[in-house]
Amino acid sequence: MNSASEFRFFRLVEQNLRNRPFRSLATIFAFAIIASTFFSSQYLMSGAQQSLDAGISRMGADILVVPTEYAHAGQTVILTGEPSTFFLDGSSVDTISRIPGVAKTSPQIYLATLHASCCAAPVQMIAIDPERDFTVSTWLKENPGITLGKDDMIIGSAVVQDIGKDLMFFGHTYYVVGQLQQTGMGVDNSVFVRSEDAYVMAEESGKKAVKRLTIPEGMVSLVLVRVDPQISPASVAAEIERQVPGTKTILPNGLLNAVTGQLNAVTRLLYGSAIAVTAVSVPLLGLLAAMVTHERRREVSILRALGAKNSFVAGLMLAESFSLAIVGGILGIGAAVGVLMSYQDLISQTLKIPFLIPSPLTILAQGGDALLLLIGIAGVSSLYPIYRITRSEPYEAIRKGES
Amino acid sequence: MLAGLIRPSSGTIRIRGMDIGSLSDDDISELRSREIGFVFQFSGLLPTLTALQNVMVPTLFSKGEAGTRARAMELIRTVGLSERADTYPGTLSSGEMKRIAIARALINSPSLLIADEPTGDLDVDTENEIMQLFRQLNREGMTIVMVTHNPDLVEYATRMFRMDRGRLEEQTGLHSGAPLPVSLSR
Repeated sequence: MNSASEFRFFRLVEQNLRNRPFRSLATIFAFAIIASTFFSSQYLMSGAQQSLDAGISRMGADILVVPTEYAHAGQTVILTGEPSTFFLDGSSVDTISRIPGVAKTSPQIYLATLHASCCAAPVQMIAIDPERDFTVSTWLKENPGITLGKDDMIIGSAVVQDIGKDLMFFGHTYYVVGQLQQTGMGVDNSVFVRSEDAYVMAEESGKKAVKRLTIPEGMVSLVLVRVDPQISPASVAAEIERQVPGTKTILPNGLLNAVTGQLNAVTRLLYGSAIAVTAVSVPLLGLLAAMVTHERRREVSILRALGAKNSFVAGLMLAESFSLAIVGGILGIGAAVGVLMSYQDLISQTLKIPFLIPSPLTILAQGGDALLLLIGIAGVSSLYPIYRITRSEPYEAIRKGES
Repeated sequence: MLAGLIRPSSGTIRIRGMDIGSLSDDDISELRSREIGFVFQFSGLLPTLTALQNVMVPTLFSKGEAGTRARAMELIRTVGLSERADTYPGTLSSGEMKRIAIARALINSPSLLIADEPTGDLDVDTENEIMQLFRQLNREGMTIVMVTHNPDLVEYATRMFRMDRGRLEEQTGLHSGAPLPVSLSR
């Protein structure tokens, strides 16, 4: 006789759950809500963190120096790519370069473009000095064969144009030579050109473009600073702000704090919901389990009379609870992943945060965390009903059934 | 009390020489699963399981090989319900439920069968079939303790006790032997 013909413990669990659909569905729903809120919080945080890591790594800078009054705008450009034009006195680049601990400086000019054929919205044009740049040049080193020559352009991942094709800004035609990988940050909506081409474009814009573009002589928008490895970026940043009045420094940690700040309200809401749902669910699930337990007292007494030990009854109730938690968890996490992935761009824009879909491994780990939480809740909410039912006298319940 | 569901306040109950009052809760459960079959006055079937699954439930608690589908089906056939094996208790008549409960009580081949009004809801023909089955099982060595209000079933008994105002007295006439008064603690 093969084992498939035997009646197994998990068959009993399955039958009990399938044939009590209301209780099972209500419990699964509660678990799904807890799982989806908890998972969403984790997912958004790690998506933003991953995007920041990728974006900051792409910039390759330890410090960003921007005009004080444009500190927020600069931060927004970097984080979400909302285009902006702002300037800083170019002489500050030399001052910054001379500060002890500064290894390299790279000035960039930020120009908000008009609508272009590539893009649904204006993009951020970033003009770089190829001699001093370490943002695009690092990427160029990783992609041998590509150079940024006269009127060449490297585009962010969100800019729609094929490599080898032209793109026109302010009446000036650029040739797309490369496209950066997705970071989830503002760089995805940016295009990079040489600063000398940007000056030519500005000069010609009066004749060729609908709107004239002006780049003030001797001005830059921000300065990227790379610090000597053994020096603390924070101390160098403080020194820059002291020696170059009218500037504000942004450190990667500061960007992270800004994102965290933007995320805080959402994560507080999500975590708050998760905690509130959990706090309400545990007693509710306990109550539901207790009600079912009371209703099932006679059934459990019959099992006891047929030879079930208390440990079997406890195991049965725990297995039922864990099964519902796992099913609810998988459904809740699945739904959350579906919604978060489908509306990734909308979420990112609404929350004004950089965002990259976390890696499958990270998603799996976060799903595992959410499932573990649910299993813990299922265990805790089953404790009292199990205690009650295993302390009750089976004989009394059987007698009630007979009367 | 015979099955160890409640413990005696005085006196002892021995099954196969074991004083069940001295056993732990787990040991009594194990003894019940191995040695005792139950037929409750009510059917006592689990509503979420089919008739066949109900019959197989006691095999979850026994370590032997007795709990096979074939054995359960054979018992269901014996009680005349093979065509109702996959039916849930809610759609069985009370007599059918009682017969399934009898099949369940026998699945682990217990040495003691405790049956409380096992033929209460059955028609005369089925009652006779069940009593013939009990007689056969008794001859094969199974002890059957049956509670009934039906005097017609006395003919199947080898010993008869009568409960009279809380005292149990053995009735003579079926077998010789002095009456055995037993005090019942409640």
